[in-house]
Amino acid sequence: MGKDDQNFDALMRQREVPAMRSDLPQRIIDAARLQARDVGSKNSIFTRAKQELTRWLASVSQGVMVPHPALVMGVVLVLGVMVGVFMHDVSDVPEEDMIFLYVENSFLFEDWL
Amino acid sequence: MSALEKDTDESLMVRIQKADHRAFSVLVQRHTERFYALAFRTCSDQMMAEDIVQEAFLKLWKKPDSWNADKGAKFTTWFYRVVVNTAHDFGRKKRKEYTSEKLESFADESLKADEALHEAEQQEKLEEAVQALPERQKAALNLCFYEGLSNKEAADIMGVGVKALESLLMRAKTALKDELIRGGIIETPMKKETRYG
Repeated sequence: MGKDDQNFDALMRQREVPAMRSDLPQRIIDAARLQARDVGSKNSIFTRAKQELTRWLASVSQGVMVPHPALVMGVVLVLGVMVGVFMHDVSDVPEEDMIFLYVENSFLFEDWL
Repeated sequence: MSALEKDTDESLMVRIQKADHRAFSVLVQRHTERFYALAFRTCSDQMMAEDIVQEAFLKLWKKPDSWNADKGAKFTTWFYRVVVNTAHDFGRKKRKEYTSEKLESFADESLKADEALHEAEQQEKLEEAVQALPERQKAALNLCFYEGLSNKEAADIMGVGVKALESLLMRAKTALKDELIRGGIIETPMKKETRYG
């Protein structure tokens, strides 16, 4: 290293760094603690609930070994039966007109023969 | 001294990843001064440097998983990168906010006695010359010259090859020397006598 380089290096080493404020580490620690509180509260309400739900759904889907089309058909079938069971007495036809909905089977049958 | 204070940076980081605030406190107490010096040499402003260090540590606290223990990354190497990047972001977005304070601090220095005034003037010119360097040259200079890192370590931190880093360093020193000669801080290097025959 030449003398010029040494002078240059010596000059560069003279660059001063003023002391930081002594409370800087504590300020950083306090700021992080405040953020931890926010993150912690969010975690307990939303994030954890979402994680639990996702985990539960994953375990259910692993337990049910039905291929998806069959699963969909099964669900539709069950829904259809349930709708049928609960909706069987629902009709738009007034009661006095219900008589027209019945057919005199015996008459038709004899007539045909 | 608590048991945590004897822990390595890396084991503290593992604890921080499990949201251990005490481990974070120990790490902050241990390294704030060192990274503050780097931040200051990057921006030449005390307040800005303090904010850069704070921001970098808060990034660490919010996203500790960005340090990956499996890769065997040394904490300080990784955190140098965080500080350099944060300083770069501050330089782009927030420099104007700090300018007035910077000028005031230089004005205070100029109130000193004659000799000190001359030194302060030199410091100011040197600082201006360093700050005028492109960001990457400045980062290379700070990491290798002031932080004492090897070229390989500095290259890893900056995400460049060793050759590229050496080139950055060379250009930084040349530009600085030129600037300091122009400002009358150092003299023109004497031409070496070349003997033939």
